[in-house]
Amino acid sequence: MFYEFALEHAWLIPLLPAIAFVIIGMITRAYGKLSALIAVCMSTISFLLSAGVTYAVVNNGITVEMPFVQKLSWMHIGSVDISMGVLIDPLTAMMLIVVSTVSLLVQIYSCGYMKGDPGYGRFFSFLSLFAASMLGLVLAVNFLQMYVFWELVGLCSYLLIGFYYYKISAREAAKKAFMTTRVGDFGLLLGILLLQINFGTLDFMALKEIIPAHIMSAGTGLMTIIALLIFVGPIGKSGQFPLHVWLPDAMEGPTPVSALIHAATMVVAGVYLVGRAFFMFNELPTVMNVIAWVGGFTAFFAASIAFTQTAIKRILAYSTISQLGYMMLALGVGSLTASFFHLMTHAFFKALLFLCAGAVMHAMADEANIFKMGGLRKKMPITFATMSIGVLAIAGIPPFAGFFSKDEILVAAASVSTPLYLLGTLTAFMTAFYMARLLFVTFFGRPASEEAFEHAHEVSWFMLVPLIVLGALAVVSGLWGHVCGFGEWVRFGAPHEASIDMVIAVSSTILSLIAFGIAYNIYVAKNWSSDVIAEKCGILYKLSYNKFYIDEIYAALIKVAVDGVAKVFYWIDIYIVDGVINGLANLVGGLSNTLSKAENGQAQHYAGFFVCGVVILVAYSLYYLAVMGGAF
Amino acid sequence: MNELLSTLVFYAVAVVILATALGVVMSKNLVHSALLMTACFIGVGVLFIWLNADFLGAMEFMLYSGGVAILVVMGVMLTKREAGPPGNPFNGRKLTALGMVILFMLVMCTVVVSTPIPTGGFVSPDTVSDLADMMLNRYILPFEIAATLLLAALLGAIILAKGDGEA
Amino acid sequence: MTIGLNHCLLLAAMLFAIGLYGVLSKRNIIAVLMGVELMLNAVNINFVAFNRFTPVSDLTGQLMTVFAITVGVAEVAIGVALAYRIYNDRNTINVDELDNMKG
Repeated sequence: MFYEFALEHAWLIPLLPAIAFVIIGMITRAYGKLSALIAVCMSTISFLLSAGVTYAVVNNGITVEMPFVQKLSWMHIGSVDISMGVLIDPLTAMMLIVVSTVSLLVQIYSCGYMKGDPGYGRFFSFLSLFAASMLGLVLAVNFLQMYVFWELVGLCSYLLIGFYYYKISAREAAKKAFMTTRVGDFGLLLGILLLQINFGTLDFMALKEIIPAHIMSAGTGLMTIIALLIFVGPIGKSGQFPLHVWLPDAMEGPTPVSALIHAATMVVAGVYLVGRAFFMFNELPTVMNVIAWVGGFTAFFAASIAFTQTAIKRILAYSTISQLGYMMLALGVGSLTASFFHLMTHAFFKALLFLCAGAVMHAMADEANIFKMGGLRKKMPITFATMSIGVLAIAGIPPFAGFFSKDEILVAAASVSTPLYLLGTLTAFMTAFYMARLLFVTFFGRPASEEAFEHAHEVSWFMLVPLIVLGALAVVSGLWGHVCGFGEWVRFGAPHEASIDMVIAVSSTILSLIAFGIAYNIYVAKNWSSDVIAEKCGILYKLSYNKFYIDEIYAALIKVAVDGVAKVFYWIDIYIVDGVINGLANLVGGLSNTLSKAENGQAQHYAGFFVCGVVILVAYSLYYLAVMGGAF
Repeated sequence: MNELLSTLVFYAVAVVILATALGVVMSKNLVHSALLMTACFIGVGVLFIWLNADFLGAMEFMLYSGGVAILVVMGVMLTKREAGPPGNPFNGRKLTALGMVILFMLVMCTVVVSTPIPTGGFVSPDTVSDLADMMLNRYILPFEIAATLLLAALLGAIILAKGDGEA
Repeated sequence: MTIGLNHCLLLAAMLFAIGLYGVLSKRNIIAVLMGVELMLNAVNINFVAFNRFTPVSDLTGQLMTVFAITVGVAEVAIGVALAYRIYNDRNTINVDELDNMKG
């Protein structure tokens, strides 16, 4: 059967895009269309295999407790035994489906979006490498394998953000993304090393047995440190406060990249890592609290910035950070199901939103400022329709996908902590507002520029088909997940009862609708002037518009720290290091001046020294023979 | 009687060798030095025969007293600078050299005196055929290498002596 | 007292020392070459004496002397050629005027 084959050969899923990367990178890079064909074909096969794996997981009754594991030994170093392999449980299966679907659709979309770009082939090779590393990450059996792919994902993001490497801003953004996530990766690496040192294994299944036992016997002290260190990795990768700064800048990359990496798949690697190691985090209440509050604060914080941004992709970037905060919040309150449910729906509707944004920018000759658009709904009906679906989904209007997943998160949060629940609800309100603002300003009202408006057009079918598919997914994935018992499938511990708490559901829906109404009044009906509101908010508006000056604070901190350290080192360098070096140099110089007097170029002179040396050596050995009795 | 004679011969040869060698170094005339060196080589050759190495003695006579001496005399003649006999002056480091040599002798004497000397000895009845046997069997490779070395030296000497312009 | 290895070694050492003195203290390159020849012969005496006065069973020592003489002859040939060449190029054969190796 196909699904059995897919399950047994799950390692092919990341391998095929990797092969595409090698083929495109080494051979067909110059032939754009062929490269795209190869990439899409490989992605399609790996999508089909993912689907097969998912079917097999359902059909064979593979659960979180009894995953399907294939391992082979990778290397032995002393007593350290490292293996590579595939670990398949419902968590993995869901991630495989999401990642392969989104990356396949994004690749198809890119066929149209990147048309005419000189780096067409290169783009597809990077996309393939990205898909390969993300799929490999999802399939990892141990922390080390995950770390390897984790870094590969980081590399891909560097390559793709800096895709337009001739643009200084793109280069800077790529560097910033790489460096910022590196800070997080360092913590992750430390945590992994501590795990290896303390438990002698990095295997998820083995650690699942060891860690609860360890906590029972030795308390939570050590594990809390390890878990916090590991959590630093997701903070960096999933753009949590305070390491979120790279994500908005990452929008310098081509829009499909933003959709693929910085919205739907790569950034959820951090969420996935926490989910995969949930057996560890779940035992540590302190760490869970930290995760929940970091997530909640990030969600609110990013939403408040998204309020005032004007660049379409930046708004979406901050909304991504905000939604990732939601997922972390859900993990922190102990609901793996809610988090991963939201991960899945978010992947679909956020990819949809980004691709729509890409279509809009494509149509508007790469204009990014939403206030220079307007009235596009007549010119781009399909894009408008799909974008509306995305906005409704993210705002949590039933029956779109976001409603169900967000509702589950809020239910989970409400059951643990009221402040977190309120924070989540407030964020939901803000999300609805800024997304409505985005939609209204872009598609309603008067065109800001007649010329650009005339030029605008609906995009090609290559780009529309993924939009439609994602739109459909954004509508049904939530309802489907709700009805089909996502909570019984992807879960940790006992199956999750997926029921809707009417109070929470209705209140958040009403809040969202109110937000829509406010946005409509401000931006479409123009009953209230946005300038006046901005004026009245004064300092708050300024803070939000300037992203709370986080970048500036970092720059200043780095300036103080780095410059201070540099000054100290400069002093040490000049007075101590150079002093020593100069002293040594003078010493050697003086010595060699003295010695060079002996080097007068006369062979007889040298022969004399030679004889002296021989005499001394012989005398020395004689002395030894006499004193030591022949023992050298 | 026989032993006394042998001892006397050794001392006589030793005196000849050392005296002529000193003469080589001390003589003010380079041609005299060359001639004294030939005499010294003859002494060494006699010493070889005294040591039962008759083939080597013959070689010493022919190669050193013959070949080398002639080469050196040729060298002396070819590099003569001005009229008159070629001088053989010391350089400015006569005393330094003397000091080194005395030190060297001291050390060597200590070595010779303090080393236990093995007893016994070996006298070949027929050195020529023994040497030939070794040279063409066990030591064939060094033999061939020596032949190559001689050829190289020959060519090198010719090229060096010919100079750039004519090469 | 019978003449033994010691006497030969001392004789060789003295010959070597005289040759060394010549090498170190002479100005003329040909004279230096003669000193080198004396030293080579001292070494040869050692070889033969060891072969004669120690309990060995073949003539390896003498054979080494044969090779040493071969090398010595080659050296003299090259040495004289060099001296001639130097004389031609610089019009001198005084060693202390040759300081190309000055560092």
